[in-house]
Parts: sequence; structure tokens; C-alpha cells
Amino acid sequence: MNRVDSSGVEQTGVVLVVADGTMPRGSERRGKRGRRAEPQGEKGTAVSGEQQLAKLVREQGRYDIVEVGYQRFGEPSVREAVDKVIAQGAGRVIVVPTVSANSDLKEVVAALQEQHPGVQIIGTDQPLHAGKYADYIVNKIREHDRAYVAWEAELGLLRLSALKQGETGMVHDFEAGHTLVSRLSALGFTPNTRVTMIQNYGHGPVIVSVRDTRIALGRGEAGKIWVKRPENE
Amino acid sequence: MTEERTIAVALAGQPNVGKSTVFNLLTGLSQHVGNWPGKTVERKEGVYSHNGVRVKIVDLPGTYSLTANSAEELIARDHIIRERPDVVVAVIDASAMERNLYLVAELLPLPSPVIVALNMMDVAEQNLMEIEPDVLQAALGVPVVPMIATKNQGIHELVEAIDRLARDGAEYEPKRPEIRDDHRAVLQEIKGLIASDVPKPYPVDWVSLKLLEGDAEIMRMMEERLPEDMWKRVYAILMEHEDAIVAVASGRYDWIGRMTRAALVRPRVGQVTLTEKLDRWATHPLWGLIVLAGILGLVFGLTYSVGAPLQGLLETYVVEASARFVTGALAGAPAWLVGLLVDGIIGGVGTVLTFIPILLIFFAFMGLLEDVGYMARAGYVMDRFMHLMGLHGKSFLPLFLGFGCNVPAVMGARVIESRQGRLLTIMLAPLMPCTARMMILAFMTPLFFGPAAPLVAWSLVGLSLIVLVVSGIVINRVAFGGERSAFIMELPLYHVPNWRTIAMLVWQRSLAFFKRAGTVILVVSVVLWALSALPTGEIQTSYLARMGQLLAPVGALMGLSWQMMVALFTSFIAKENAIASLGVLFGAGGEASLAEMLPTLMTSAAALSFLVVQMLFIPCVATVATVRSETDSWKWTLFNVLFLLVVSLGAGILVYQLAVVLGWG
Repeated sequence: MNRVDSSGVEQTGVVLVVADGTMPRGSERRGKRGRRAEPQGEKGTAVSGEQQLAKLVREQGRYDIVEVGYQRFGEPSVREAVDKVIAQGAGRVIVVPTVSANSDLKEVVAALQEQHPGVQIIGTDQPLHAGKYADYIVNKIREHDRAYVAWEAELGLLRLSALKQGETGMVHDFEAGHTLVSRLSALGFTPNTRVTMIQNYGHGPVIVSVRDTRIALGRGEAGKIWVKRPENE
Repeated sequence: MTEERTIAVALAGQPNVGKSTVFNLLTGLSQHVGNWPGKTVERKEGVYSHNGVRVKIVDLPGTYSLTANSAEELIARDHIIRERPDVVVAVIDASAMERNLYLVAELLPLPSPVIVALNMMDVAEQNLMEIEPDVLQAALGVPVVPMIATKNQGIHELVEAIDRLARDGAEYEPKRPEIRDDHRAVLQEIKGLIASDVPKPYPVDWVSLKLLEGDAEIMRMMEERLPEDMWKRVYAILMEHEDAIVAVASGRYDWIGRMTRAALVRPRVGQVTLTEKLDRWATHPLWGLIVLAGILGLVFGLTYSVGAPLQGLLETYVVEASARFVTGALAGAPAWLVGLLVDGIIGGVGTVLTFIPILLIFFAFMGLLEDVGYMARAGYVMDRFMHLMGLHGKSFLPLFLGFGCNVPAVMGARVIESRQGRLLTIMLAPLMPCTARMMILAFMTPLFFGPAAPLVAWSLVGLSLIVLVVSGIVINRVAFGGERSAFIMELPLYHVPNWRTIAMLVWQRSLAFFKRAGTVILVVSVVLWALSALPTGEIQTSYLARMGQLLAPVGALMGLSWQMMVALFTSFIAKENAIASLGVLFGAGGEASLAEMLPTLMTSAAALSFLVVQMLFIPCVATVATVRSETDSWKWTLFNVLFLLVVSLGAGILVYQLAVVLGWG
């Protein structure tokens, strides 16, 4: 049993925890769910999204031993997946809840650790914050939803780059990375702050006035700031 | 005998608040300019004495906040945390108090006591604002000193306040901003987790807040210090509150609002100010360009009507006169000594020194535009074009100066805030066709291309610029991942320039150049002279000639004889030397006879390739020395030299072979 890799460090295996799997093929059980259609892979084997995920994690290169474990329906269960990983030679197992899983794995991990005293079992938190994931989903959707823009307009929401010369908006949200948000916040672009468009020719950079300061912004940067039209104007 | 006590003061402030004016007033000519260790950011320090105390002041880089987003901010906060100055003076613009106090909000949690220098009170008054400094002082709990630095007002009071605070630190009771209610618990939680592992001299509260803000440097620091499990917990909390920076910044502005509400009796009235009126033209997509072109035209006009004649005078009355004097004085001395002094030192350094008038004009111009506030507008107008090359709009002006001389172009890159932008600008500046190179063009093109000469000359200038743009795109992609830091730039109010500040700037830049001339350029001039004089005293048989002959095969690919290769070497001292060297190497009596001889000695294709190489070649030693000191890195200087070598020789070969194919050979 090879628990140590060539550099002497313990081999680490990963178990991706998913809420539900599909019924194993050939099972005739008809529970409340009945039989569900499964996506067909090569030669009729099901290729689920989470199996794809495990494959990608493996391909990333660091972890060779990656298995999927299901919390509710589906095989293998989380316990079985951990066993599989240990059987493949891991001296250390990291259990990661994916987005769909119930992420409170503390008890499960503790129990597994008791079961496998010679192996280190670690549970992580969800790598993807649910709120961020929801934002990501909505952003993907909005590309296909023409009515989205109308909805935003109804709420009085628009990008700063769309504000016309002379108009004022209140800072609502950012669609930008941490560094840009940090720089903008320091300069005074905080939620509900009034921003007035001084110059906007529809192309090229813009000039806005925020907290009595004239600031030039690149068009891209201005597009990452969402403002809301003030109610009474 | 009383021993003089020394205290350390740091001067902080946002850009465009008159910090340098205050610094200059306090330190006068005692100031010393250098670089922050390991960085290319300028560091100024100076001293003054008061009441038996020696006060050492360090001018921190101007920053809007103290995040980890830029080298300037890191330098500023590191200095305060590590060096613990006795007093930090925060210079703020009274007419933009709200935004300016953000930096004060970041300074108060740091260990050194703060004095607020409420500068530009006159501008506030012009904007019909009424401010009560006493109320602000009571609200903040720190000394507040109203000032009008440009009129020398308030300086004495500031000096007194510094003295008082340094003596009686006990009375200092600042009101520090507190985090917004909704994040208070999280902050406490983080503090609890990290308290025992925060390294001295960092304050625990400050580190906790920075972690919550997502500060990259502090996160790295704590990741290294905390045990793995502890860090994982902290990291999980931070990821859950990834947007806390917005809450922290809002909290600071709320606090600022409360502080200023009391002190700002009559806020700024929204009227169309002079700045707005001027900006209607200066930042207009079309008119802005025209205004810029006009201003540039003015500068170059001034340079050539005033600078060039001065240059000529220097040439005649200083350089040539010294040469004659030395030759005369050393009549009986060995030939090599005379040669060393006249050709080596005076010839080398002297030629470079004649550029001083042009440099002075350019430095004054850059200083004036920056002080008046126009520099930001020029950057704004040109950004659209500059960003295609991965450059910031502000790179335009320094690069443009390269048409006159590459040295101020390289030095001018200081105005660019990001290190990447600065480096890229410096790397590209030597590709700008300077007057010296244009002189060579002007001399040689008529000899070979007759009536087509102007066309050829302009095409070569165009070629340089195309190579510059392409190089910019390539270097940016390869060295910096094709990214460009976000375009966010304050457009400060226009204001009457402070001549003292500008004079100080011109003085410091010129002094820096002189020192370089005195050292690097001197050494290189002497070395090159030695190579050209030894071992026989005749350049045709010198080491330099041998080097040229060694490289003849490379030269052959470009149609250049070894003499032309040697001319390229000598152009390293000053581009114009190329002509003079050709004259000596070919045995021509002077420029006129050289003009007759050249067409017989080389083909048009060879002349073309020589000019192409000359335009793209490594710049003169003054520029290379400036690149080294502005980048503070041998790596980048070497890269620059090699890059230009490869590009110029490559282009030369290409052009020559092409020209031969086209039948010009």
C-alpha cells in the first residue's frame, strides 16, 4: 500500500461530495422519483456532471486520486468513496462539499476519522460561496434574457458608462475584481453615494464627479459600476 | 552644552494637495532626493531646526489610501509602521475635505500621532466654503493647523504644532473611525483568532481590519505566521465576507461625514468653476487633442528658438573654448594626455553638457504642466491611443519629449503611477527619434536619395514609431501578461503654478543629470576614447577599429563596412559623433568633404540600412545611464540594450537585403 509518493509526502486523495446521484443502471426500484433518464456516455454508461468534475480535478495535476461520493441517493456513498480513495493508496483524504451538497460535514468527517485511525481525514468548507454562485448563474442567464435589461431599467439600475452627461446616479453595486473595488471605494464610490456624469461621448473614457472630485474613468471601468437613478429625479 | 534632540516626522497626503510645497517650505535646500530602497519611487528627505530640536522630515509618496494596491501605498504605510516617526503630518486639501479625510481615517489607527495640516484654505474660500478648524480639531481629537502653503501662511504654526506634539504626546487623544455595526462582530472574531500571532511592530487592530479588507500583503503575512488550521478558519471567514472592503470604506466615509458636518459651516456651492470651463475644451475628444498639439508645438517652438541657440553658444564658448585652453596649456605635455583631456573628457562630457539648455526647458515644461494640473488632462485625452500599447495616457507626454531628447523622456516616466506603466514607458522611450538622430538623417538622406530625401527621412521616423508601438504591444504581452492597470485618474482643479516648486523640481532633475554626466558618462567617454586612441593614437588602427573589423561579417549582412560599425560604437557617446567619426575614419577633412565622399564609399542600400540601425540603435550613454537610474535595475537596463541591439541590427539586415533585392545595392 503506497501511502507515500516519490518525494516522501503522504499521498492525498480527494472526495467530492454531491447531494444526489442517479440510480445505478439496471435498478428497477421505483421510489417516489421513478426512473430518471440518464445522459448517455460511451457504450451506454452514464457520465454525470460530477464525474466530469472529478476528471477535471484529476487533470489539474496535483491530485491523482479523486472520487465522487453521494450524500443521499446514489453510489458510492461518501463513506464508500472515502474507502475507495484509501484503497487507492491515499494516506490523507480531503473531503470537499460541492455546491449542491449539504455542507455541514463535521460529524461525517469525525465519524470517518474514527473509522480510519491510520489515515488523516480533513473536511473543508464549500469552496464556492453560494451567494457568489447565484450571482454567477444570474449573470450567465442575463445574457439570454432580453427582458433582464428592461427589468434593470425599471429598477432604475444602469451601468455608470450608460449615464448621460449631466445625469446623476447613486452607486449601487460593483461587477469588478477586488483590486478595482478597493480603489474605487477609497476614492469615494461607496453604496448610495451620488455620482454625476460630467462628460460622456459614448466612446472613450468618461469624467464623473463624486464627493466633489472630478475623476476620469476608462469606459471598461465605468461599465463595472452599477448605479441607481435617484428616486425623486 | 545642550545636546540637540532629533525627532522624525513623516509627511503624508493625497496627490495634488500641496504636500511638496509644504515640504519645500519646511526643508528648503536641505532636501535630499533618492529612491526608497529596492523601489523606483522617489524618496525625499530634509531637515530643519526649531527650539533646539533637529527635525528630520521624510516626504511619503502621495496616496489616496493605504491599501496594498500600489508600491506607493505600501511604502507609505511600511514607513509609518516600521520607522514609527514621532509625528505624521497629514496635508489635506480644505476644498475637498471629504475625500481627503479618507487618508486621515487610514492614518489614525497607525501608531504615530497625526497632525492635520488643513492646506489650500484660500481655494476653499474661493469656493465659498466656510470651515472652522477648531471644531474639526475638537471633533478629530488631533491638532488641526489651517494653512495656505503657496502663500507661506501657517508654516510657523505647523512647526509649533509638531514641536508641541512631539514633546507632549500625552495630550493626544484621537477619535478613531469605527467599523460599521454589521461587521463589528466579524472583526472581533478575526482579532481573537490572530491576536497572538501578529508580528511586531504591526498593531493587532490594524492587521485585523486589513485582513477583513482583503489586503493582499497582510493576508500573505498572516498566512505565513498562523498555524495552518487557524489560517484556514480565518480564510474561511474572509471568503465569506469578501465584499467587506465596501463596508469598511463606507464606514470610513460615514465617520468622515460626521466629522465634517460640524466643521464645514458652509459647504461647497455648486457653481461652474474655472476648471469646468477650461475642461470643456481640454478634455473634449477633438478639441482636447488640438489643445494638446498646440501646447506641444509651443514647447518645441520655445526649445528650438531659445534652446538651440543656447546650445550653440555653449558649444562654442564652453566646450570648444575649454578644448583650446587645455590644448594650449598642455603644449608640452605628452600627446596621450592632451588627447585624453580634450577628445576623451571634454569631447565626451562636453557634448552631453551642451544638451543642458534643452533639458532645462523640458524639465521646466513638465514641471509647469504638472503643477498647473494640465498633465492629467493630456493623459486623459491620449489614453484612448496609449492603451492600445498597454500604456497609460500619461505616458504620452514623456514619450513625446523623446523627440527632443530621450533623457527627459525617460525621466518624465515618473509621473506614471503604476510600476508596469513606468517600466514600459522607459523601455520604449529610446525608440523615439531624438534631435541628434534627426540630424544624422538630415545630413545623410540628401546625399543618397536626392529629391526623395524628405520622404525617406519621414519614413524612417515613421518606422521608429511603428517599431515603438509594436514593441510596446509585444513587451506588454510578454513581460506583463498583456494587462494594464485600471484607468482611474483624478482630474485636479487647475491652479496657479507655484514657481518655487517648479524651480525645485528643475533643480533636482538637472542635478541628477549632472551627477550622471559627472560619473557614468565621464567613464564611458574616457573608455571609448581609450579604445579609439590605443594603441597607436590613430583611430583607423585602434582597438575600436579592430572591434569594428571583428564585427565586419555582421556589418556585411547590412552592407556596412567596419568603419560604419565603428561609427555606430562612437554614437554611443552622443549620436552626432557618428558623423564626426565617419569623417575621421574615411580621412575626410570635414563635413563638406565627407558629404562628397560618402556616396562613393557606400551604396544607397547600405546608407539606408545604416540609418535604420542608427534610428533603432541603443541610445546614447546619457540615456542608458538615465534608464538605469530610473528603473533602479540592471536587469531592465540590460534588457533594454539587448532588445534595441537585436531590433536595430535585425531591422538593418532586413532593410538592406530588401533594398538589394529591389535593386538599390
